[in-house]
Amino acid sequence: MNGGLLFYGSSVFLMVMGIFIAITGKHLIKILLGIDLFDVGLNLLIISFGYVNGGTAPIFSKYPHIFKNVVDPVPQALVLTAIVIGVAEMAMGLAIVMKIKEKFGTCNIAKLKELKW
Amino acid sequence: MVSPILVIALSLFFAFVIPLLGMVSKKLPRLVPPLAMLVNLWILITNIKFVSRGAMLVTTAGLKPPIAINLAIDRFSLLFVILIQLIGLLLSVYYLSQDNRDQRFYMLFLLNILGASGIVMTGDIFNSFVFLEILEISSFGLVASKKDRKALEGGFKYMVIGAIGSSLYLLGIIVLYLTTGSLNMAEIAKLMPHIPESIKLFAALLLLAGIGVEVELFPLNAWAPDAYHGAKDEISTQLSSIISKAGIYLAARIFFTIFNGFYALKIIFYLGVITFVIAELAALMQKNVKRMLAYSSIGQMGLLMLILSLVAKRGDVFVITTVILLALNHAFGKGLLFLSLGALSGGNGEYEIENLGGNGRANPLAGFLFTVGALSIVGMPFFFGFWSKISALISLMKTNVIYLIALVLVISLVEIYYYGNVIVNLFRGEGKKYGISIVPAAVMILFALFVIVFGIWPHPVFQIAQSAAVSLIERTTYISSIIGGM
Repeated sequence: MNGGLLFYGSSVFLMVMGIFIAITGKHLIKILLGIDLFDVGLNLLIISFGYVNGGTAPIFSKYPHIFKNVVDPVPQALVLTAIVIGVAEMAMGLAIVMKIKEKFGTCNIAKLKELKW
Repeated sequence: MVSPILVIALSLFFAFVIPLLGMVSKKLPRLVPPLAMLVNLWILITNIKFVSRGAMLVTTAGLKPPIAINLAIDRFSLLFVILIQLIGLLLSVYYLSQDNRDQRFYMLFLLNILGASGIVMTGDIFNSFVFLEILEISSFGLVASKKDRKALEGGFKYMVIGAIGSSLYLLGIIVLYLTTGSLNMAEIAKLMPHIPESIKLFAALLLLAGIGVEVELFPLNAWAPDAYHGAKDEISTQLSSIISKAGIYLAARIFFTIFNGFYALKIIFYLGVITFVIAELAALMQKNVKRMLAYSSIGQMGLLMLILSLVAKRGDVFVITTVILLALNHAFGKGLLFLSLGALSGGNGEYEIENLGGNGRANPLAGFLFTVGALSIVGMPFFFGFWSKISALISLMKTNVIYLIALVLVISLVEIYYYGNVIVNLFRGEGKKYGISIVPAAVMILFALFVIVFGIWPHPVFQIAQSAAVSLIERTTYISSIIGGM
């Protein structure tokens, strides 16, 4: 679990930037991109938790001395799943944005005012 | 014995068989969801007698629990999964009468039920994230499936909040994985005493961010009124009766079984109180009946969460029983309200209170059913809601938060006022008459029968809820039945 400051720093930077864009963005696509950036940063963070500098793949082999220094495979498996889920989410989001553009004629979130109490 | 893993596998199979059937005939896809629900219910019912104390373990890949993914089904999860499948069955029968739907709608519907059942049955915390995402992504689609401006706006808002919430949920899972080295719920629960308090709190808050979206807890529920309002009436039923119930289950499982009800529940308590009060007052101000029902739904979920959080003070069976009773009342009562509101408004999206004036008199059956649902939600005697509200008051009394009893009673008066206002309006003046076909009427009557029959004779429901509550309370039995010795 020593991914180095570079990995942690950049993933946290991506996450913060993603949240910032998602909150302040006015354009629907921009908001989706913010969410996606957040997901990417999170995935990088998870990977770097399991990363070992100079480690090898955790595969049993006939050279047991190599096996001492392996990366944690579980976070990688989790991230693979999370990436797929992220793609599905993005696809659904973009489909909704497409329909919104069709019905409202705009992608500006400030102009979606159908529902206000 | 039929393996409950088939509930998940068969739902997926049926969901992906729909487009193939759609090529053969336009009429076939409609028949698939009821069939799938019936098969699932049959599988679950054959398993009832195998689920005794502790959890029934269903392993995958032939490995024992801390290693592979597994399903862990105790009585508490069995009750919730049967509830979810039952309401799914009722709703899919309801859809039989509508022939103008896209076949993709039925796929999303099945995937939604699959996600909810998966959350309830899984024993692996990462798996619960995957099912949560299946549930959420399909519900964005379901909300937006009406494809008018309101539905799309509601769907988009839900999507943004849901996506960020579930990412934070994943981060919480990773924090737990890093500290315990396991993703198995029972294993994490076993190692919980060794985790430092600060990490516990951090993980709990991150997990709460994901669950809070589903259970409509205060800072995360901005999507709820819009999504309920924008979606079709049946989808609103689904949001309130299935999706939020899966959320309640997940909250109970994570904060009680895994975290053993530590002080994170105090945060849930305050958030629950805030949600309850603000949402009920917001409901009071609504001119739009559907939005009013949405706010009332949020308020009910707030009450549920605040009572759930009381378990922290004493591991009391009665408190959990109350949570289950409230959840059942909310599932059937609120579901009935949304469906009958659809019948009263003729499905054309006019939910303003003045537009509905007299419609109850013009459509006596729908008006009657709406009244039944409203009376059960506000907790009138001889309806199921009465028993859940009484037990809520008793559990508040038992856990020494007397001031909340006054609050709940005052809010109940508020509820009676705004529901009464709508009902009086429904039966005053001349309204527009809309036909109601036999299948939707039958489904609504079944919903109504639940709240009436078990309102007069609550004993069996009490017993089932109690045995489910016992199995949630005995967390050591749950843990040892999955990974052995504790």
